[in-house]
Amino acid sequence: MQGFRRYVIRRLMLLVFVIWCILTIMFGLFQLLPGDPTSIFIDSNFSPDMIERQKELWGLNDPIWLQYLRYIRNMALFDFGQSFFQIAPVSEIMADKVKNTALMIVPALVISIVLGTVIGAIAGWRRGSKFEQSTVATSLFLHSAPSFFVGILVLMVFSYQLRWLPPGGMVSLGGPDGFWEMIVARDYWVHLILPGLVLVSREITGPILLLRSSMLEVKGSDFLDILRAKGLPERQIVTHATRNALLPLVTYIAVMTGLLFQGQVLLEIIFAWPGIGRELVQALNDLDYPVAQAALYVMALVTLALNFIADLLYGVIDPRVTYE
Amino acid sequence: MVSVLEVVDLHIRYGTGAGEARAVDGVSFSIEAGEYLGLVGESGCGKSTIAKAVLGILPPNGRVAAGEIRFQGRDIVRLPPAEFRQMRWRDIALVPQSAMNGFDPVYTVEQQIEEAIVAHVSWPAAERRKRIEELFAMVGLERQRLSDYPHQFSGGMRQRAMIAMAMVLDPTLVVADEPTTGLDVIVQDQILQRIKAIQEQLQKTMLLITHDMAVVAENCDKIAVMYAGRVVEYGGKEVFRTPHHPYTLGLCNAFPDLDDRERELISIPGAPPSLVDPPRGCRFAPRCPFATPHCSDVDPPLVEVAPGHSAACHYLDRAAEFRRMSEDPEIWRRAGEAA
Repeated sequence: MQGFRRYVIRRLMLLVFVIWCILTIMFGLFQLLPGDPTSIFIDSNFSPDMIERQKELWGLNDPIWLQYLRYIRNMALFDFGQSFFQIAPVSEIMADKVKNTALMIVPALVISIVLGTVIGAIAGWRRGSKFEQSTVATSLFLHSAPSFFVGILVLMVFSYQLRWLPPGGMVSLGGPDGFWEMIVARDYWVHLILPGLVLVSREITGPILLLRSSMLEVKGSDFLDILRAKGLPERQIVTHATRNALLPLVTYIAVMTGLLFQGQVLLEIIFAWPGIGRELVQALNDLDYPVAQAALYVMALVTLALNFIADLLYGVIDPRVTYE
Repeated sequence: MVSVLEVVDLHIRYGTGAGEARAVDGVSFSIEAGEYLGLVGESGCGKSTIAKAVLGILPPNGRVAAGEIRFQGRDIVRLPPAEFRQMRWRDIALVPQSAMNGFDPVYTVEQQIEEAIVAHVSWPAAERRKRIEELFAMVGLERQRLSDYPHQFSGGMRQRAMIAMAMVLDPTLVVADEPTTGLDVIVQDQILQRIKAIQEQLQKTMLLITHDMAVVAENCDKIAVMYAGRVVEYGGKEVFRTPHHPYTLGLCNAFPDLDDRERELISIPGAPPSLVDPPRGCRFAPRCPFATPHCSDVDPPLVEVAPGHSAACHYLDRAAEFRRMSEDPEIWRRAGEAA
């Protein structure tokens, strides 16, 4: 346990270091971006005198290192400032958008991982069967299908042609608001079907292919013979094998969630989902720097947090991992 | 009285890329209650395949092509799978070749022993625990180690835990398939003595699979020597005292004898034949220093040389002469050159 605590502390310190690196890179990038806040935010009819006063107020005339330190402090405290266009603190906007994105990603991820594990495990166990062959073929196909294309396709079929499902948005106009209200509302789930399906169709292929190959590896293990000799039912033997095949999946999930935001931006735009990805694109178009900065920062934090959790989880599911 | 295990003219084949390999080709032997039978032979002679067939864990490409495996008179080869599954471990248990990898690494040792109990009998949890502790004590493991994972055990401890697991349901027959592979010599000896002690104490019927003649000579009541999928010599201790088959002679020469340290160890030159396309006559003929043209033409049957002792050689009447000649390394070397 001592070793575990030391490991967590070391890992946390590394985390802080990585966050600092990201913040610094972001600071540099936003310094390089075209336009400065005054030109966007300030009315062109302002007199040079007023502009100068505004700049002074925002601290834009301070030396760069002071600006940098102030920036780091604010980011660390989740104080992202004020949006240039929306009349709300950026931290509030972020909280709302993160919630919306989670409402799309979390159900899709849970389904992908659980279902993908089961399908992949069965495919690996029944090597050479029709089921395995069709699973692998389908997975590779889905894996390589670009989600923006699949997204538009399903919209055309199920929304515009068949009119079964809404074409986008998270809820209908005047629909439920707030996290818990939405979770229990049928309206939200109906809106989730299409984007959720597209997301699952892409994300599920990873666990399927990974579990299949890691199951093939486990299948050669001697301990399976012993389990068979013990007279255990087949189902229990498959459970043993799956439990062993699961180990690489944990690492994969961390990578998978890291890559998730890439596609997420596109999906949110196609399905008009008011999530953080869409917000980022919108903010970049508007040169709404505080929002763009915060969105990037939040995405990075989520990715890092998930990786951190996966690292800790590894020790839980594999007893052979020690932290000495 | 029926034998505990009776193998009758057993044929087992493996599908391979090069055709069907006859891993076991007409093997018969029997083990009576309380007997300790040793099955010896080189790697690939089919001895482990027999163990797998007895436990019903042949790999998917292996099948029993003909013959019977009778356990207490019932042919288990043709038993419905569900019924056979119930018999495993409760009636026939295994001490495996690979203690190192025999346990699932992500479950504790106790969980794995317990699931063997749960699969067959409905004991309350307290009783299961008591039984497992009892067996751990029997094999000399501390009960605190029960909640350990297999990787926390040394190789010898793992094999002892395996023995405990094999005994947990008090099986009628215990199959020990090369139980000392991968262990160092001292631990090997401890494990074998442990098995022997349990066998004597609990009156277990045992089938020991090994390549080590010395181990069989020390432990077993009965010996079956296998070569290339066949039993070439079969009987009690006299198989070692008065071997009749040249292959048995070769095997005895290849292992050190503590009483006669001066003796030179002689290995049998050559390698066992292909099992996909075995030679027509005696399968040992290509490596046998005493082979004649007749040997590579006609397959010798297993015939009784004394009550309860049989061998498969055309020249059993010259066995005494062969025994004397086989002590000369030169004879074997020449056979190797000829082959």
